[in-house]
Amino acid sequence: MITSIILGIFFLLPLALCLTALLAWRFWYKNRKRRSPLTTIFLRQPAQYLRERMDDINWDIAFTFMLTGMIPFH
Amino acid sequence: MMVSLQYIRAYQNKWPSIWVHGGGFLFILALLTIGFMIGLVLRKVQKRLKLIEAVDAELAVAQELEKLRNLGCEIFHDMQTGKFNIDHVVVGPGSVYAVETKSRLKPTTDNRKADATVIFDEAMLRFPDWSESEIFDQTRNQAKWLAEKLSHSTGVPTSVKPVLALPMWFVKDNGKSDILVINPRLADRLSRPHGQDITSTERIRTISYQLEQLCTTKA
Repeated sequence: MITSIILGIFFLLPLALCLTALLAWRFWYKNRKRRSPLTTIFLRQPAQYLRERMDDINWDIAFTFMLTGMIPFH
Repeated sequence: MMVSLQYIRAYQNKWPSIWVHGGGFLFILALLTIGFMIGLVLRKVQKRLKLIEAVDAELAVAQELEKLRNLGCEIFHDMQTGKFNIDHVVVGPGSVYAVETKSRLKPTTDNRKADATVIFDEAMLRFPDWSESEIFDQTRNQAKWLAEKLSHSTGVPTSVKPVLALPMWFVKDNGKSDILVINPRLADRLSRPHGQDITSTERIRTISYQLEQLCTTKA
């Protein structure tokens, strides 16, 4: 039982570290007292809508692959 | 759930009881799930390949249209209307053009010239081994929508000509239709005045300002 708990902690530890680092960076980024000099609104780029759709599909493919790898089958 | 099953299997070195007692049924279920996932990925990959072709075509057309800036035209890309999008809009001394890009693959026979030729006869696009007519309605509707929008926002009746761009196709056009079908390499004709549709520099600026509002990236 104790071994399982320790293993569980090791399983979650990298995830917790990543999240902490991300939150720390976000905190620093929001409190750096700088702002962008840009005030212009950007015009849309050629095929921007299609590229956004392609990004969505890339994520879908990666997610499906990840799910397939998790099926306990071997 | 699947992560938990993997975890139990890996660290306890045994299959979860539901897996063991389920026997053949769960084995088949796992096979079916994997089959379904493979089908899903293949469908997405196919969609992605089509999108790559469409993106490449739009970039190729945009690259050619950008040259028209030197001839006094303003170019806008990827205008979102809510229901559809207009790939490119050209505002020039000739007129305002709503350009729809279509990517079509060429056949691969020995006759390379015939493989790259499309004949446009008023209501039909005749490619080497197939024909299409449905795309004209879409192109016309986009131009009509834009004409109404610009007329309303500028307060001056504005006509918009529908254009269909087929990158890397040699287009034989009989010139009788209201739609222009072009190879974007020969897009300089869009910068030339047609008939009485001469647009002044001031008018180009007014229309361009309205189009800028429609073509901005939403944050």
